[in-house]
Amino acid sequence: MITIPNTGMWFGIGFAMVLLSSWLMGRQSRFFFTKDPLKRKFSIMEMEFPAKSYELERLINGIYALPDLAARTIKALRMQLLLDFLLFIPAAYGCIFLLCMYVAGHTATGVGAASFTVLAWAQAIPFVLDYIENTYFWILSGERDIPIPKPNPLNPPPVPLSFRLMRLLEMLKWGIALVAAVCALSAMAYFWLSGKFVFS
Amino acid sequence: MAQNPNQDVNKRQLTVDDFKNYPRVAASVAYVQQHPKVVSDVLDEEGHQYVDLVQKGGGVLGVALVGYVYVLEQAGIRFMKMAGTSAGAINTSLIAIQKDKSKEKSDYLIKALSELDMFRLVDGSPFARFLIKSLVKEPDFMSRVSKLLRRAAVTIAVLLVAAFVLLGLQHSYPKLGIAAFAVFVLIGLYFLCAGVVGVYIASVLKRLKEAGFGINPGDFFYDWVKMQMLQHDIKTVADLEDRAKEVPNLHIRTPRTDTVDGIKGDVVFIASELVTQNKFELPSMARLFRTPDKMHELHPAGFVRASMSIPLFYESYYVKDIPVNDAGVKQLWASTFEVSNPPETLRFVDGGILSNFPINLFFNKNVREPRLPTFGIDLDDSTPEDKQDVPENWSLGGYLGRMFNTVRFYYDKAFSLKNRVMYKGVGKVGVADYNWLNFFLTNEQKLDLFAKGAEAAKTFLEGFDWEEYKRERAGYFEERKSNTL
Repeated sequence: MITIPNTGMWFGIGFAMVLLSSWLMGRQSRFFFTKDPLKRKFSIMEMEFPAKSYELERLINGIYALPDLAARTIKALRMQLLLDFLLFIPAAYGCIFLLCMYVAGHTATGVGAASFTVLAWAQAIPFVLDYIENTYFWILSGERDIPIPKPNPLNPPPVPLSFRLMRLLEMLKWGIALVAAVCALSAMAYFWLSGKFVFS
Repeated sequence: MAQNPNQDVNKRQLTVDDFKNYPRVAASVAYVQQHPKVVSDVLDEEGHQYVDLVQKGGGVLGVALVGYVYVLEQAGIRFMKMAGTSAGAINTSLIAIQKDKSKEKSDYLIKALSELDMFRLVDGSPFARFLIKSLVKEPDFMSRVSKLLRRAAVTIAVLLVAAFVLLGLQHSYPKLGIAAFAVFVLIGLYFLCAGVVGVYIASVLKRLKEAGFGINPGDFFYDWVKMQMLQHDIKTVADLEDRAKEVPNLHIRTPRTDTVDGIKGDVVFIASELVTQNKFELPSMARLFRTPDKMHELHPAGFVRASMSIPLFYESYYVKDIPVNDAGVKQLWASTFEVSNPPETLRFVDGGILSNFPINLFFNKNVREPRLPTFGIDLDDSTPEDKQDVPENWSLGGYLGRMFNTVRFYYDKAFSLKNRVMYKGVGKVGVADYNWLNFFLTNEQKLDLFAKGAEAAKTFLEGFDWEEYKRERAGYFEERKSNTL
């Protein structure tokens, strides 16, 4: 078991970075516009969770379909991705890692400690997946007129592999991070209410 | 590949013959062929009789429209002017795009119907498809949802009570601390699940708003109609209008002395427009959207798509980039709708919210003795219980539904009340057993609906009397004339 000195301080710094980067990214998202079918705003979550195949590609094509706003939208989108790269991703997964390690260190049973240690180190998976996802968005956002296959009503094309992989990536990324964060916060709530909380 | 006709009909692709040879359909066809009727004074060289045809909207109940049209054709009837709303517009378009009015059109309709997987018309997100399927196919879906919500509430209550009790007891029984810890984690996971569901529902609602409050984009439908049109060389609005106008060599039934001059085909799809709040008759009103040199930018499949944009079920259909500064277009808007500043974008929803059965379209009050009648196909999905509901007992949904239906049906109803004679040409298909949004019809149900249409056509022809129709029209004409004087 690794004991992390000054967990509270590191968590505080990480959490502050999460808040700061969230605020900065929120500022950028004000400039996200696409044409679908009329001009409208969009969010990064729509890119992460396209309901259907080629929806992400349609969204990117829609950005370039607004000539007056495209440059600003792409600049804001990339700025948001950059903030995500540099601040949010390391801070968010780092905080979850610290929380889980803290709980693991304060759990009475071996199973509990092992489970939380696994959850803590499992954050490496969403960490890497998030970087892959952001790199993909960065590359895709630079492409104009992404080809979208013409629909054939009687013989629909199969769901593309890229879309299925994207869905799996998102499920793993969000699933691992959220389960770990929620379990750790629940355990912390238990420590707090039962008087077993130790600030280190 | 040859299909085994004995194979369970629900487990194989239907064929044109499945529809035609269905016993109830075959019996209806045999009857109308053994009892030929005079229904019109306009004939072609092969002796086919011509009528104008109006088809009502009604979602998947449109399958019955095909059965009705099939039997009319088997009785030697052909169609001159055609109009329809929503499902009626789909059928109308599939008839109107085919060449040579003297030829039967229903084979192509039946083929298109048998090859179409209707569920593909529901082309929204997986959640939307699941929701629609559940709501339509499982009558007790809402009670299942409410049961699930009750269970979820009970679960969280039990978990909270357990946490409260275990938290207190663990001081006396330290081993219960592990259970308390586990319950806390379970509560956290419970809220995580609830949060994920909540966020998903919120995102679906947000998408709904962004998609013009439509669960399904309707792209599949548009592409499907476009494909059907392209197969018949209909690429532009002009192609469709020209095809609809074509007439074979016609003559008038003796001993009438008038001619067939002025008789020409036409096609009309009805759509409701929300920006200017008007009823649009397409494609003729397409001149309000584009100047003649830019008309090629519009595909006529869009007009059918506009006509069947069932609110909430489908996204609205937009017509953008209207040349609002063009003098000709501006003048047309002013003369048609008294709109002096036309909008750049129009937003269409289902024509059925204004005129689901546009039987008034081909009515010419100045004609004393029509040369050909207007036939209408009315899809009647009302049940006797609908009229017997105690008004005081209506739920909020029932109350709102009645209000909406009163408004949306009254436009057509007002016309029919004033011009009852037009209803002489209308046949009703009783389809109360079916939900108009049931896009999951089994093959058996499709055949049944088709047969209902066929039987209704047979019943209608049985009771139709062309001479009486003309007499009543003449009487109506005289009555109006004397009232005017």
